Amino acid sequence: MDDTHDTSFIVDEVSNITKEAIEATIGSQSYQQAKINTWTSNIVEAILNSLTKLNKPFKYIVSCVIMQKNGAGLHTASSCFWDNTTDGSCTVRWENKTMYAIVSVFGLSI
Amino acid sequence: MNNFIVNRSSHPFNSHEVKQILEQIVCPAINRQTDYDSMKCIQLSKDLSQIIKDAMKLLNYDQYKYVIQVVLGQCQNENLMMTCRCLWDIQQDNYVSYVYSNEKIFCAVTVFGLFYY
Repeated sequence: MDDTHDTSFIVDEVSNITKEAIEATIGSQSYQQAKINTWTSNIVEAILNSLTKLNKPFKYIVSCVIMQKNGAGLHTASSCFWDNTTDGSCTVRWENKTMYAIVSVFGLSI
Repeated sequence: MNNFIVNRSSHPFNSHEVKQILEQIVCPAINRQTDYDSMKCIQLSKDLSQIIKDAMKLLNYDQYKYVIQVVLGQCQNENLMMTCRCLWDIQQDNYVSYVYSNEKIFCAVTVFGLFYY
């Protein structure tokens, strides 16, 4: 029986969880200044809850950036000092007509 | 009764020290840019994350893994919100966040330090 499935960071699985959380929270919404705080918190908490349910021996960091679409440029970069064989990350970029969302998930094994 | 004894770091993550390092690296790097240039900023964000990672390694915190995230953007009266949540050991793990901007570019850096048992 393959044991690595239960103890490794699977990018596709995490990517699906992330996309579902974004769609559920802001899928049909237009940018609203007053709601952006709630949206980012909801996305991040939904992802973290789903990741916890996977029951893997990992510590997780989930970060979400939501930006209004106004023509300005945005760049994100990340750098990690970890164990390449067990740890992993997944970044999902999402957009609609009024805003961009960039969600990064990092999983570090314990 | 089972006793699960958790290791403690002999040189734990120090937020204040890390924040000073971030100021020393980020402020001059951003001020050196005369204007927002998309191509230069792509490279700058990658370079900053590598430089900060190397600086963190030099701090010699015992048994820590690091994740450094750099967000660089053009200042154009936009609204941007960045949120993060972590599932970790609250006694050993920590993060430092630093935001710097001039009239053209803003930069938000977050460094996470996670203890490796």
